[in-house]
Amino acid sequence: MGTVYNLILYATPLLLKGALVTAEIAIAGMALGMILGVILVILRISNLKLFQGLVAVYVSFIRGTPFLIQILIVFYSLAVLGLDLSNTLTGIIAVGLNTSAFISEVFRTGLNAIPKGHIEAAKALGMSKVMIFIRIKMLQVFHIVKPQMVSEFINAIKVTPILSTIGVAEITRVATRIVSRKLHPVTIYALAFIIYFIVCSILESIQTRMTRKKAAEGRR
Amino acid sequence: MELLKQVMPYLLSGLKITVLVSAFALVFSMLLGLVLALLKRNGTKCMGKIIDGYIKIFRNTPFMIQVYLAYNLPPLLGLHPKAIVLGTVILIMYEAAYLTVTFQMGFDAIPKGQEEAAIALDIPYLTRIRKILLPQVMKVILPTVTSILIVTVKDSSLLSVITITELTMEASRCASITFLPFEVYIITGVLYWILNMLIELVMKLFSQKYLAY
Repeated sequence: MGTVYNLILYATPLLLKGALVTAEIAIAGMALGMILGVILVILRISNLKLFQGLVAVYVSFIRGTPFLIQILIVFYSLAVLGLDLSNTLTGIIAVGLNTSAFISEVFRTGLNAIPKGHIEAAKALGMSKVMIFIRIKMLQVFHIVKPQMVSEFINAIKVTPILSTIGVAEITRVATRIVSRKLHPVTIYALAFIIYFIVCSILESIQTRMTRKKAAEGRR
Repeated sequence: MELLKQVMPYLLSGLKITVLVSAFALVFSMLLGLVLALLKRNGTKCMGKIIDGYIKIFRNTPFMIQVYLAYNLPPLLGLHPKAIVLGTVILIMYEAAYLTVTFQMGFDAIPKGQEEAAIALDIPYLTRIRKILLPQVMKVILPTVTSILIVTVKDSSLLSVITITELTMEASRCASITFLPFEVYIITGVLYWILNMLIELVMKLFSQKYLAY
């Protein structure tokens, strides 16, 4: 029993350092995903069939392929393009591209949820199309989709372990390295499991509270 | 392309395993999900709380860690199942957590009057479920089940880390044989994409043909 306790004492700080990397990738990936998601949605609702088609194909591909394959494609694409980015940055790009597809879909349905009256009132007041888009649509959409954004963030975190296959030093990779040196895989992976569980459960309860608050407040 | 012809046989054999594992996992996880949802609905409160715990554990953690744990835990207990059995079992347990929630929502979506009428007519429990509630529930939850099946196919790619020779593992092997990883993984991605689009198409046709009034 003593050795197991020592093992936990040894492993936990290392795992928590990995958790920082996980957080970094999840947050940066989410931010990138939101920026790309807005761009994708703008392209999608433009009336140009070409852009609509391209975005639809992109979203369909991201939603229809496993994240592991997406990471490997991004990893080797960067190699083909001759760029030598760090593993972490590659991971952030892969997470960003992945979440951008889902976020753009969330934004799309969110935009449809804005009452038509708002847009008509803005047009009546003489607002230009761009102004309408930014002030009326986007600002409201960000409020409407908040619970789904948290849900996407939880997904981003749940997807980071797959980045361990390209050597990113997040929790799962740290765990695998500890296991290869100290054995006791079940203990180490269980520790990692608990860390993920605590983080995601906290986020999930935040999301549930957000959803309940939104339902209670009506539309706003 | 020359590469396609060289690589396709391997990828297709991996695809076969992927399809087998996913289909198997879907059937059994639906059964498990249905059982858990029924237990939660008609069982004791304590059982309900345990099932809630199960759902929480499997939904709030990444599948990859679950796969690693499932691979390393049985040897401690003295069991030595084959990797593909382990992988399918953990995939079943993972998807069942989502399917339990899906079935719960499905059952809640049916007007209570249906079940009350069935109870009044003295129809036994299993027949009630089988002939009255279940057909209606399946109609309601079919879109969700389609997307869960697609997610199952995508998550099956993670089973490659425990040496199951499904599509992703075959792709890695081909990538190292041909030294053209970029092309191989693009082809693999397209294969997964086609598979998932086929699943969507089949489900849509199925729902139009059999489940429309």
